Order: sequence, then structure tokens, then C-alpha cells
Amino acid sequence: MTARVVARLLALVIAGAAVIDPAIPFTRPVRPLVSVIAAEPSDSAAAARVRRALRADFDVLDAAFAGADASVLVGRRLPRDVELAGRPVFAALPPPHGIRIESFELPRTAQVDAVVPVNAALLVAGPPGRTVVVSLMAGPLEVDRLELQASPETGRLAVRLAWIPPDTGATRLRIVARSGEDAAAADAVIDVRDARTAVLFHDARPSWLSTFVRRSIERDPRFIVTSRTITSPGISTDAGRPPAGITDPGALASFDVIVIGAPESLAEREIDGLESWMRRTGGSALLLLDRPVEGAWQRLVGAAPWEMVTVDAGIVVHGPADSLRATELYSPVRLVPAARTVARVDATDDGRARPILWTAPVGAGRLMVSGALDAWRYRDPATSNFDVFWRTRIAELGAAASPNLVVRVPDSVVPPDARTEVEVVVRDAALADLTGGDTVRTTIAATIDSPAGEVPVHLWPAGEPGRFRGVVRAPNEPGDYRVRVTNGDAQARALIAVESSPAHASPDEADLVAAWTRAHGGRIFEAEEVDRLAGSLLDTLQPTSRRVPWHPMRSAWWIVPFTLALGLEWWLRRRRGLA
Amino acid sequence: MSWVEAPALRALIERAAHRLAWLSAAEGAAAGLMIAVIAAFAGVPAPGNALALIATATALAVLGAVTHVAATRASRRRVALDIDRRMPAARNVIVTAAELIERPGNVRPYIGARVCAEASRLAAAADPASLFPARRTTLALLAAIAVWSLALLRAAPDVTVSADGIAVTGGGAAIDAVRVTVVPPAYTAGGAESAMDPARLTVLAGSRLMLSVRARAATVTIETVSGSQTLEREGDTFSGEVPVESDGFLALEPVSADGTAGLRTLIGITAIPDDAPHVRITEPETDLFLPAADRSIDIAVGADDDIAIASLTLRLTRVSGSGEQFTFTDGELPLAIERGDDRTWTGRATLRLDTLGLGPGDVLVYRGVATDGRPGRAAVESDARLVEIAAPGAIAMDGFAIDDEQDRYAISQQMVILETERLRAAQGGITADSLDRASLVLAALQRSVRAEFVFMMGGELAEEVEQAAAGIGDLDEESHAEADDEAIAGRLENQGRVALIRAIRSMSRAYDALTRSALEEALTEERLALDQLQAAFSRTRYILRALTQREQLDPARRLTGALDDAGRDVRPSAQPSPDQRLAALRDALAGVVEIARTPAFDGRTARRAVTLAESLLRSSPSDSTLQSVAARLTDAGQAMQTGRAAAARESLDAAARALADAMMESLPAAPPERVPLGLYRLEGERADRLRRGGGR
Repeated sequence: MTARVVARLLALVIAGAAVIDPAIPFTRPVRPLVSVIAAEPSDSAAAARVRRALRADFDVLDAAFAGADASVLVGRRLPRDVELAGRPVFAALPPPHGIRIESFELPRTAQVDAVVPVNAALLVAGPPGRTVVVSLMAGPLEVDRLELQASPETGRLAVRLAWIPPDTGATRLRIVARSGEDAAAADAVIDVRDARTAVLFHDARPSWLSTFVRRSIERDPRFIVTSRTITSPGISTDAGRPPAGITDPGALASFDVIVIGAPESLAEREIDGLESWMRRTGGSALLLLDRPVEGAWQRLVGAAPWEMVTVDAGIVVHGPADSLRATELYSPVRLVPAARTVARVDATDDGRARPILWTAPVGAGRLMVSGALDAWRYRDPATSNFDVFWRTRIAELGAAASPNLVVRVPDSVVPPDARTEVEVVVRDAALADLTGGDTVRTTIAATIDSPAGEVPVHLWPAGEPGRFRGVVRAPNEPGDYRVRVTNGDAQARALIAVESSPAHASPDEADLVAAWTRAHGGRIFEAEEVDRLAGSLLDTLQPTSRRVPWHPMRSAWWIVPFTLALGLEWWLRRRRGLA
Repeated sequence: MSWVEAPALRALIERAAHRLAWLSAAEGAAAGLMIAVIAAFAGVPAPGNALALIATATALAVLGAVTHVAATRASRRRVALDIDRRMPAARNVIVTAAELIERPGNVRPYIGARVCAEASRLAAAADPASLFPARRTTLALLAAIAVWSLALLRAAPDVTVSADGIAVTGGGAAIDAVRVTVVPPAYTAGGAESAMDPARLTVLAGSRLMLSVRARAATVTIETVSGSQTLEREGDTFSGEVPVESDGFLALEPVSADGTAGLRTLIGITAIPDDAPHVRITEPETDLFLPAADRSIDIAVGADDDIAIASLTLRLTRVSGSGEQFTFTDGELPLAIERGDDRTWTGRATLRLDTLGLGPGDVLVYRGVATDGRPGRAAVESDARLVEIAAPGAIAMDGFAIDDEQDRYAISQQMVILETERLRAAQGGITADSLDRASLVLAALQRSVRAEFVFMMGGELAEEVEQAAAGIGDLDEESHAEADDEAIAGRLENQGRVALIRAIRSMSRAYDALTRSALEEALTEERLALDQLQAAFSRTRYILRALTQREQLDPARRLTGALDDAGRDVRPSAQPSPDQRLAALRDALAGVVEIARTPAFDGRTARRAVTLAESLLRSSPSDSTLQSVAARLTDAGQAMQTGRAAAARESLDAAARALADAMMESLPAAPPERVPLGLYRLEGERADRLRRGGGR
């Protein structure tokens, strides 16, 4: 047992410990962990600057992390993953710059015989009152263009463009705003269909108003009109195949809109049938009053009392963007709760404005009531928008009616291979009355197109009866793809446009960021105030100690004693003639 | 001869220098051509334009030659050295001699003479062509020319030569310029106007278009709405003539010798019709009813035309007689013409009634007549005015009184009464002559109202009128018997017809009183007429004339029948009739979208654009929107043909926007995005709770 043995043992111990790699836990003070999140891709540069500034004092992550000691949000929007950010949350707001498209709104589906309204909101930074050229591109074509001036005070700009579909099918629309060197864009996809709104006209007796509204609707290719005019008990004039009556909601299920002429002649059970239809299917009904007569209809409408006003000359009934004329006006003194005025007269003899056309929810359905009793007398396009007014109103009611199956893709323009959500609503299940402990069974199937064929989409119940949700992966080739959903005989579809570099509207959410930051214990700084941000983080974050494992054998310096021990052991053996 | 002269040596040096200059020029030209080839492949100048390619290459070759000759000028001064290098036997004698000749004072004469003599001997035996061979330079130049020719063929494919030797491109047959001279119709006396490369023309109908087309083509055809023709050729210019009678278009199509058609050039045409003159009698303002033909009437006639008035006259027709014995005598009264300009004339004349031999009951009808210069157009007449000489107790003549002006029909009996009361109130403040004139005007109004009811009764009142003279309180029994079928039908039970006849009779009396300026008497009769009218039009009376047997109503065609036959009337759903114009606009928009989706524009897309433009013009030549869109599409086609993709896209965008603007006028706005069903349901539940009674 000599020094030679000791050296050998030492070497063996070192080697054994290295193989075992023991971990020794102990508590020691650590640098705070801060996650820095870029709100948008355009904020990446500012986020990088913040990270560089914070690395001197903190451990920095470049993603939202719930375990972080603090988070710094860089940008003027709240990103989706902000909920994952560790608290407190600080914010570094870069100054607004260039042009920001805050919203880009258009219907996801449209009929081919209509002008598609395209609305956008812009925020223009820079000198006040900058002129912005806004173009609407449909594929490679510039189909609309406006040159506008931003508000000198707020820099905001509301843009109303329009697009006329040349044909059915999917079309990509892109709004491009330019001002000097600055530009911004946003993409959307719209599905143009040849679908027609099914409208039932049911006249309890012949009515001039209903007749002329029906004739106007019949001339519009967006509608398919079925009608029944009861001319005397048991005798009627029918167009198409109207149901035997309106007492059975099931018989009305195929209609989107029901227009009632002479509603005061409806019986109580007909009103019950109409109401049940609206509640069960989310359908829309329009009551065209042409006489100031009370009846069962008033129970459905709910408003009371009513008053009649007669003026000598035709008075203008102002709609949202159109108008009617009438001399006999019948309106409720007060609207029912949740009702909304659609068209009104500004002032009659008593100087009071009156709601002449108004709408109110009935369950999931819509009820619209017209008190312009003799509006049919003013149909001359030179003095009244009779045709346009009623076509627009009934089209709106048709759009409000819910089909039995709805599929929606909230983010419909995505990059290749992106994951995006799909929402499906089965109307009959969603509106079923389950208060009595009843159950509803629904079977749905969904697929998405891909270059290789249809790929199934898994849908899961989304918490409420009739609602389902799923996630689809977009195909990796740019193009337009359809998500198809079936529920028995009902079919629905939605579009997903795969674009190599899609652009989205991004509202300025500086106020929301500020509120979020305050609510999560942080403070707001300008993006240039990085030093102040770091100081504030240092002040806020208490020095923490963390229990961490220590692996002493992972040091490379162990090679020195190991080598020395082996060398000593060899040298001693050589001296003794053993080696 | 001094040794300095050395003619043989000098000649050799000079010839060699010239040869070297030419070789330098050839090398420079070859380099220029190669630059031209590179530029042609880079798209400069635009492909398809062979002339531009040739001009560019020539310019670059000349520039290269001049530049290279200038650049090698210094080296050519040392040409003697080059010669010596290429003549090993010379042993520097030639270069030495050349230097001695330049500076003869630097050497003794006998030495200079000896050296120059030797150099001259050598020079006499030397050949510049063999000393400086041109083969490599020539080959380089030929190679450059060959490569450039290939580039020319690539840029302007299918180059052929027509029979007369003019280069004509096949696929690239094109129209370079169009000159249109508009020659208006001869009668307008207007001058011809010319336009170069017009997209649209607005011309007077009847004009002729003289076309002069400069094109790289074997033939140029012109197509219009009515047909097509081939333009006459003279060199590279084609000419023809097209008459214009209505809206349309010109489609000029160049065709190469191999029959390949080039891009069409479209010109929209709007033909403005030559409006007929408008003639009106401005004075007097109304018909006149005079008690006697003993006065003069000042007449003024106005006429205007969009181009020029050719003539303006006043025609008279005297009507005399009664019953069915009327005599019509035509005449013409010369007018004193005042010409504001060629388009606006006023004629004045004084009509002396006493010279026309008018008697009581006679009527003089007069009207202005104007013509413009358009051949074959009939003269245009103004509304007729009349002067009637009243006969005591007579009823105004029907048939001449109904004026074309619609507002005269609106004059009611109540209005006649009102006007008569006003005249009576003003009676004290006006002269007798003015009173007579105003009363005569009222008489005309009363007669107009009366004529309305006469026509309402069928215009067959002679019998009743005769009865009216004797009293119309009871119906004549003879007439009653003749109308037996009406009695059977029970239609004579009503008294409305009787009341109407009484009203007409009172109107006749009122008219008579007004022609005599007897206002009180007239007012009495007018009010009586009004009372009778009110009685006739009461709801229990029928005012319709009873029908004869032949005219009896067919019950099968009326909304009547047996109650048991009543049943449900079932019809198919109404189908909206398609809007043809909207469909045409939509098709055009779809066509524009399809063209715009093409990744790269070429001659084929250019032809599609122009074909679409032509189809638009052909479908509706008068539609200004389609004309504008067609012009844009033509621009786009021409831009595509010449490789200006950005300009083509701008034109396509403009065409799409114009189409959209036109369609928006007749299309409704689409409803906004559907609200999710869940939100509707929540809203409905909230409304139910607020109403307390809701929620079934």
C-alpha cells in the first residue's frame, strides 16, 4: 500500500465517478428568465434589439413561456400566444409607421348577381392628411381603386370598395394601400355561388303591398319565389309549390324568408307556426302591414300601442342606403326590447321620428315589420327606391337565415402546411330544445381537398350542442381548397386559400396591449426606451434562488488529476522495475 | 529626284496604311454587330419590329467601325515598322528609311540615298495584301453578320418577301398607322377632318371615312357591322372608303402573304343622326276665334336645326263649308326671314284676313314649314294654328281644335269657370279689345273641354245636338226604338248619358257667349255644364256609350263565372327574365379576367383581347360603356403585341373597372357577412327574457 496504489485508486475513483455522473442538488441565486415576444413578424427587428439589451442582466427566451419570470411583448398587437407568457408582462411599443390595414371585411360567400361590398379600415402614420391610393385586386386585375386622404387628426381612413363577381367559384381578393414608399396589403378569399334565396310569400288576403313587393322580388335572379294568395276561404292563387299552410313549421323548413301579406288576417295558430319556424330554424319573416288593424300578429310582434299617421304627400321613409315613400304610416309608439330600426320617417306633423320598418329577434330567427301601409303607391323609380329597397331588405333577411349546416374557416388564407381551425354548426341540433332532458344525435363528416385527393378532417364537439371544431393542415401547394362537411342530406363547404406569403389585416391594438400589460403587473415603454425597460425589469424582478442540480464530474478539468494519477502510478512502477 | 522622295516606299506605306484602316473598320463593325445581337436578345429594340432591328444594327456597326478606326490611328503611323516586321528580308531598312525621310537632316545625304534606294527596292517587291492579310478580319465580320441575321430572324419570325419585294412579316403582319379622314355629307358644307390612330370616332350619320393605313402586310381587310372589304394597296399604304350611317366599328386586319392575319386594329364609331328641324309658331300663342274676318294678324315662326335651316315658309289652308261639304284651299304666305345664324331662323308675316275671303264659319289653318339640307328628308311642319270666323249660334268645328299639346287636355270645366271668373273680375281694368281677345282665348279653352266629352261619347252627337237645340229633357222615342237592343240590355235606364249631353250643350252655349264676350251668360252656362258633368259622373251612372249587338261583351272573357267552378289557381314560380346587357357585360368581364390571368402576354393574348373588344362592339355598337371598354381592350392588345406588359395590364384594369362601374348601376348590393347562429340565438334569448312572455 504505497503511493503507487494511492495514485491508482485515485485514477479509478475519478473514472468511476465520471461514469456515474452524480448530480448534487443545491440552491443558488440565478438570473431572472425573461421571454421576449414579437407581436408580428414586422416587430422582429425591434424584438431582437430588446433581447440584446436584456441579455446583460437576464436570461432571455425568444418565445412565450409560462415559466418565465417576466415577459416583454414587443409590438402593437396582442399575439395569440400571449396567454402563455409568464407574468408580469411588460410591453415595448414601436411607434406606428407606414400603413396598417386594420380590417378587411367582405362576405365569405356571395351570389353572382350582386355587388360585393368590400370595406377596409386603414391607419396611416406619418405627416397628417397623407394621400393613400387603395386598390382592390381580384387575382391579377385591379377591379377598383380609390384615392383618399387620411384623417389629419387620427390618421385613420375608412375605405369602401366594391367587386362584381364575373362568375361562380373561388376568387382571391387583395387590398393594397400605397402612399409614397409605404405599402400594406391584406388577402381574402370569397366563394361565389349560384345559390338562390328561397322566399315564400303568404298573403292571407290579396294585398297590394305584398303583390308589388313579390313582383319586384320575382324579377331579381337572386331569389326563387313561391307564393300563395288566399283570395277567398278555400280558394287561393299559388305560384310554385307553397306548403298547405304556415301552421306546420316542418313544412316551412325549406324557405329562408317568409313574407306575410295582410298579417292581420292570420289566425292564432298560423302565428304560432310562424314563430315556431323562426325559433327552430333561425328563419326570417317579414310582415307587410297594409291596414292598421289589430290581430294575432301583434302577439308575435309584441310592440304596443300602435299609432297611425297619415300625411298628404308621400313622405320619405329613410332606409340604410335607400328609401321608400308612403302616406299612411303605422308604427309602434315604443319598439320592443332588442328591436332595431331599419327605416324611419324623420318627422311628421308632430315633429317626431317614427320607426316604420324595424326588426327584432325571435329566438334564433329574425322578424321584420313594415308599417309603410301604402308604399306600393310610390313605385316610380324617379321618386322612390321601391324595388331596390325591398330587394335589399329581403336579401338581408335571407342572409340572416341560417342554413341547416354551416362550416366556417376563421383564417381562410394561410401559408402552405399551416394549421387552421374549422368550425361546424348543425342548426337543427344547435337550436333543439333540450331543456326536458332530451338528447340530439348528429352525424357529420368532413374532408379537405388536397393535391392527392380528399383528406378526412376530424371534428370534435365544441362544448355546445350542434357545434364542432377541428384543425386542418393546409396543403403544401398554393391554391384554393374546399373543406366539405356533410350531415345527412345537408352539405356545406368553405374555402381555404393557400398562399405562399399571405397578408392579413392587423388592427392597431396599442390600447389593448396597454390594458393587458397593466392587468398583468407590467409597464409600457416605447421601443426605444430599452434601458428604462431593463431597469424596470430589474426593479420589478426580485433576486431569486433556484434549486439546481450540480454535476461535478462534467468538468473537463478532471482530466488533469486523472492523467497525473495515472502518470504517477506508471512512473512509480517503472522505478521499481515493474513496468 | 532627291533621295527623300522615295516614291515606291511612300506608296507602299500609304497603301498599307489604307489597308490597315479598312481592316480596323471591319473589325469595329463586327464588334458593333455583336453588341447589336446582344441587345436584340435583351429585347432592344422591341421584338417584331424588323426595321428597328436593322437600323439599330447598322448604327452600332458604323459606330464600331468609326470608333475602331479612330482608336488605331496612332498605330497606323508606325506602319513602316509593321511592314519591316512582316518582311524579315528588309532587316529594318524600311523603317530606317521611313525615319530618314521624316527627318532627312539627321543623316548624310549619301547614306540616306543608299538606305532609301534599298528600301525602295524592297518596297517595289512588297504586296500590302500579303503583308496584311484580311482573311481573319473578313471571317470575323461575316460571322458577326451571320449571328446578327439569326437574331433578326428570331426577333421577327416568318420573314417573307412579298411579290413586289417588300418585306412582309408573317405572324408579325402589323398595322403601323391609321389615318382616318372624315368627310361629312355634302349638304352640311363642312370640311373634312383627319385623325391619326383614333380609338373612337364620332361622326355625323351619312359621313364617309377615308382610310389610309400604313401596314407591313400583303393585304389589309376592313370589317364593319355590315360587312367587310379589302383595302387597295399602294406600296405599304392601303386605302379605302367606308360610309357611316349608324353606330358601329372598324376592324382593320393586316394579312401577310402566307395568309396569316396580324393583330386587328379596332376603331369604335358613333354616328350622330342629323336631327330634323324644329318649327314652332311663336305668335300668336293660341288659336283665334273671331266674330269677323276684318283684322290683320301678326305671325312669327321660329325654326332651328342642328346643322342648318334650308327654308322656312308659312302654309295656309282655308276651310269653308258645312256638314260634309267642305272646301279646302291651300296657299303659302311669304315670311320675312331673320337669320340669327345658319341654325336658327325666325320668319315674320302679317296675315290680312280681309284679303282671304273668309266668311262666317270658315276656318283658316296655318303652320310653319321648314327644311334642312339633308337630301330626301320631308319638310317638317309646326303644330297647326287656326283662325275661325264664328257663325252666330254655330258650334265650333270639331276636328281642327284638338291640339297636340297634352296639357290642353287637362283643362277642366272647373278651370274654364275659374278663368272666366278671373276675367270678369278684371273686366273693368282692361280695354275692350283686350277683353275680346281674352274672351276668345277662353272660348277656345271651353271648346277644348267640350271636344273631350264629345269624343268620350264616341264623337257621334249630331242627333243629340240637334235635339239639344229643341230641348233635351226627354229622349226621342224614335231614337229609343232604334236603340232597342240597348233598351233590352237595360242600359238606357241610366241617366248619365243624358246628363253628359246636357253638359255638352251648355258648353256649346258658353262657347257662343264667350265669342261674344258675354261673360255673365257664359258663366251661367259653364256652371250648368259643371253640374251636369257631376251628375253624369256620379257613381250610380254609366257614362259609357251603349254597345251595339256586334260589340256586346263576351262573358267568357270576363272575370265571372259559376261559383262552383271556382278553384285554386296554380302557376309555376315566376322566372326572372335575364338582363341581356348585364349578361353581355358580365361575359366581357369574365373575358377580361381570363386574359389577365395569362402569365405572359404574347400575340395570342393580344388577339384574344382585340377579339373580345370586337365582340363587344358587335353586340351593341351604340353602347358608350362598351365602346369605352372596347377601346381599352384594343389598347391592351396593342400593348401585348409590342411587349409592353405593364401598359397592357393597365388597360385591362381600366377595362375591368369600366365594366364593373356599368354593372353596378343595375346590380344590388350583396348582404353583409352572415352573423354566426350562436349570436342570433343569444340575442333571441335576451329579447325573450326582456319581453318576459317570450320563448315558446
